[in-house]
Amino acid sequence: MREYLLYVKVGREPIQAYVTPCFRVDQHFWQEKEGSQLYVIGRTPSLAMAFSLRERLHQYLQERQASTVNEQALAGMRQIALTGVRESNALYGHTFSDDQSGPREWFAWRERVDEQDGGSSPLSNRGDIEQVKEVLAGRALLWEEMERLLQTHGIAVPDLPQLLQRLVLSGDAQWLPGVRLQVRKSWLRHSLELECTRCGSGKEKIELTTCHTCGQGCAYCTECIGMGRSKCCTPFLCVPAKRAPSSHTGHAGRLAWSGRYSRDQEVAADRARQFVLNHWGRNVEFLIWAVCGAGKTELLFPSVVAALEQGERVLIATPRKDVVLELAPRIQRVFPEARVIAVHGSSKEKWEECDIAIATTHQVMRFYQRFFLVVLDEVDAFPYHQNPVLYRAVARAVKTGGRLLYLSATPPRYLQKRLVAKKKSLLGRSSYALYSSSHVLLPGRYHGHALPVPQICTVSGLDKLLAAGRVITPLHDMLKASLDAGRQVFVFVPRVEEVPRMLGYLQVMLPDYREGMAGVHASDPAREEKVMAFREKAVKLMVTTTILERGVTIPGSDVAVVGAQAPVFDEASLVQIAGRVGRSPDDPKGTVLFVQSYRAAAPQAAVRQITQMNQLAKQLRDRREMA
Amino acid sequence: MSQRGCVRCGIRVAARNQREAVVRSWAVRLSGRTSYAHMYRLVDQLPLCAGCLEEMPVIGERICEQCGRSWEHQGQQNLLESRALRCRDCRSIGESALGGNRGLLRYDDWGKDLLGLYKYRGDERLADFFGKLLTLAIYRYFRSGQFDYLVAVPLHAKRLSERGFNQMERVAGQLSRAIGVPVQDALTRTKETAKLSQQTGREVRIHSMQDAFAWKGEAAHPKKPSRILLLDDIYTTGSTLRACAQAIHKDETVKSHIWSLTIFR
Ligand SMILES: [Zn+2]
Ligand SMILES: [Zn+2]
Ligand SMILES: [Zn+2]
Ligand SMILES: [Zn+2]
Repeated sequence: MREYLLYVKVGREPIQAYVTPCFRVDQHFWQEKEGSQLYVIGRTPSLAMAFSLRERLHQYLQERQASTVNEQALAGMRQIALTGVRESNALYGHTFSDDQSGPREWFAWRERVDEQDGGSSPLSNRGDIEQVKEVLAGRALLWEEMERLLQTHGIAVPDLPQLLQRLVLSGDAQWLPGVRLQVRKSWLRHSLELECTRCGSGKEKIELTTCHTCGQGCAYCTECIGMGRSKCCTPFLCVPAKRAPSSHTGHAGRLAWSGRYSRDQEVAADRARQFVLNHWGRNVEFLIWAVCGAGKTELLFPSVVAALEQGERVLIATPRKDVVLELAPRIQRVFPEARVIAVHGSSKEKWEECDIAIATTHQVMRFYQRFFLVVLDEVDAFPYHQNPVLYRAVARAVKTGGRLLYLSATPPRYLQKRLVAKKKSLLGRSSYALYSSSHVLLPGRYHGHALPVPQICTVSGLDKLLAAGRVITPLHDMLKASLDAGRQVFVFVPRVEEVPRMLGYLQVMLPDYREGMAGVHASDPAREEKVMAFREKAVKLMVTTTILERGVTIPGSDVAVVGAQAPVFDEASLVQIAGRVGRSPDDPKGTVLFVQSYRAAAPQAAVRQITQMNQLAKQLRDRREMA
Repeated sequence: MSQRGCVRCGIRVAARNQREAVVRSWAVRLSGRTSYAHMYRLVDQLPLCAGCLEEMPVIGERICEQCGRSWEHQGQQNLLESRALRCRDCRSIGESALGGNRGLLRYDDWGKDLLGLYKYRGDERLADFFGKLLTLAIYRYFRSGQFDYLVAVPLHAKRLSERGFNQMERVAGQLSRAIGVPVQDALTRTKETAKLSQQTGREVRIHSMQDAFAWKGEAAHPKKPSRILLLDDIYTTGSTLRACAQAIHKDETVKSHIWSLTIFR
C-alpha cells in the first residue's frame, strides 16, 4: 500500500505545502535547488485525504503570510491536519450508509515520521524522464491508463512514482486524486464534498466504497466509469504539452476543398478565423451559431487552416461516435497532408500523434493542454452539457493561450448569455446581434430559403383520444396530406413505450399506409436497419423518440411531434426536430406540426426562435441587396 | 423497480401490467421450495424491466444433479445420455470435497456485459442486483436453515488490491443480510492464478488451481460438522470451487458439508 507524505517547504519563496509518494525525491530535489528547509506534517495512505489536507494548509498559509516557521507554527499546522482527518472520519462514517460495523477509522494519519524513508531509492535517469515526458505530453490519465500507455510504447521504468514526482516538482506534470474530497463547512453542519477530477461530476454521481486498494475511506465516480475507475486513491496525472508538435509546419494546413461558400458563410467563417488568429485578444471562447442546414462543418475550415499553419494541433470534439467516424475521413480528404486521427472508446489510433484529432467528448477528458484549437461541435448535445464543470474538463485540453470554439444550432442559454451580445432595435425590442468579438450568428440556410415555421395545435385530452383510437383531425390531415403527396414523415413521441402505441394508433388511423410504417427507439436492436429502410424510402412513416432529433436528414420529409408539451422536448430539441425539414435545395419547404395537450412554453419558444432567425436572415439579405 | 430503471437496458418506466404478468409467471415456475408470494417478492425486487426480465436465461428443471448445468443447453451427445443424472464432465471428475453446485442463470449474452461491468469495470452499484439474484437462487434450490455459514470465493491479495474490491464479498454480505446466515471470512487465496482467458485448456486450469486456497483460523477446527455454502459469480469448469472445498476439508478434523451456489452456470 502506498503512503503519501505531507510536508511544508520553507525557503526563499512563500511557504508551500506538498504531497509526495516518495519523500526522498523531494528532499533531493529541494536540496539541489535552493537548500530549502522541509518540515513533515504527517502521512496517510489516502491520496484524497493528503490533498484535502494540503488544501487546508494552503488556506492557512495564505492567511498567515509568513515566510518562516517555528515549533509553535508547526504544531499549529499539525493540529489543522489532525482536525481535518477527524472531521473527515466523522463525516465519511456518517455518509456511508452501507456500514454495519459501527464507528471506525476511515482515514489513517501518522504524525511522527522519524524513520528514514524507503532507504536508498534509485534516482531516475535523465533518459527515462525525457522518454516518459514525451509519451505523456498533453495527456490527462488515471494511473492505470498511464501505465498501459507507457507499456504500449515499450517503456519500463522501475521507479515510476519517483520519476513522476520529479516531473511534478519541476512543474512538468501535476497529479491529483481521481476523486477529490473536501469538508465543506457551514454554520449549520459540515458536509463531505466529493468531486471527480476527471469528469467534474459531483456528489450525486460519486459512490462511497470500502476499498481494498487503499484500505481507506474511498469513493469512485460512476459517471465516467466506462473509461476506468476514477477513485480517491487513483492518481490522476496531467502533463501539459509544452511545444508545438509538427515537424512539417505549413503543409498540414493545405486545404483541398472545392466547395463554395454562400456570401454569409464566407463572412462567418472568416470571423471565426480572425478569432483563432488573434493572439492578443482577451477572448478565448467563440461561438458559431448556425441554424440547422447552414452548413456548419465547412465554416471551420479557415479556422483549422489558421491553427495548422502555425504548426499547432487541432481537436474537434463531438458528442457521438458515429459522427466521429463520419467526420474523420471527410476532414482527412479536405486536409490531405495533415495527420488526422479518430479518437473514440474502441479506436486503435487514440494514442497516436496527430495534427487534427476528431474525438468523442469522453475522450477529450484524456487530453491535457495539448491542442491550440479545440472545437466543440453540437455543444448542446454533449452529455451533461447542463453541468458547467464539463467545460472545465473540456477546456483542460486547450493549451495555455489556445482557443475554444463552440459550434451549435441551438446553443444553451448560459452560453448565449456569456458569448452572444443582444442589441435593441429602435422600437426597444431586443434581438440577437449578428456578430461580436465572441460570436457569429448564421441565421439563414445554405440554400437561402427560410426555415419552415412549425404550426402548434393544442388538443386537450390528447392521451385519452389516442388511447381510445379517436381521430385527431389536424394530425390526421397533416399526415395524410404529406403521405398522399409522396413525402416521408417523422412522428416524434416523448417516451420509448409510446413508440409501439403510436405506431398501432397510426396504422388504424391511416390504413392505406399501414405497410410503410415503422417505429424505432434508442436501444432497438434493429435501429440501424430501420433507419436505413427509412432512408431508402421503404418506410414512409417513422415513429421515434428524440434519438433521431439530430443527424438523420431525409430530403422531402415532414415532421410531427405528438405530445410536444412533454418535458423531454425543450426549446432546443424542438428547434432541432423542426430543423430536419426542408434542408435539401431541391425541396426547401415542408411541414412541421407540434401537437400539445396543453399550452406549454417550449413549443412556443421554439417557434419564436425559428421566426426570429428567419427575420434576421431576411435583414441580412436586405442589407446585402441595398449595398 | 429501482429509481435508476432497468440495470440492463436503462428503460425507466416499464409497462406495469406487462411486467406484473412476467413476474407472476417466474414466481410460479420458481417457487418449488418457498411460497409463491415469497418468490413473487424476490422476482419483483429485481431491477429489471418487463422485457429483460422475460428474457432472463434461468436454468430449467432438468439439470446435472452434480454441477447444476442445464440439460437442454448441451450438445447432441449429451442428449443421448440424458438418462444419466450427472453430466459427462462431472462423471469424469470422481470424488470431490464439493457436494454439488447450483447456478441460477445460463452464462450468455444476457448477463455477460452486466457481470463484466460489475467485476472488471467496477460498477459496484450492481452488487445490489447480483445480491438479489443470488438471494432468489438460494430460495429456489435450498431450504432456509440448510447452511450454517456462507463463504465467498476470495481473490488473491494482489488482484484484490488492483481491483479495489472483491465482487463476491459484496454480494455475499447482501445475501447474508437477506437470509440471516453469517459470512465466514476465513478462506484465502494463496496462489495467484492466471486470468481465465489466459489459460489454455481445462487440464492446465484444474492443475493450476491445486493448493490455490487456504482455510485458516478458528474455522479450521470446528467441533461438529458445519454446513457451508460457497459463493461465486460463475461455475465454468468448477475447478475453483472444488479447490476451495478441498482447502476447507484439508485442515478440518471434523469434515464439513460443502455445497456451492453461483449466479451463472
Ligand atoms: Zn468522473
Ligand atoms: Zn481506494
Ligand atoms: Zn431492461
Ligand atoms: Zn455436471
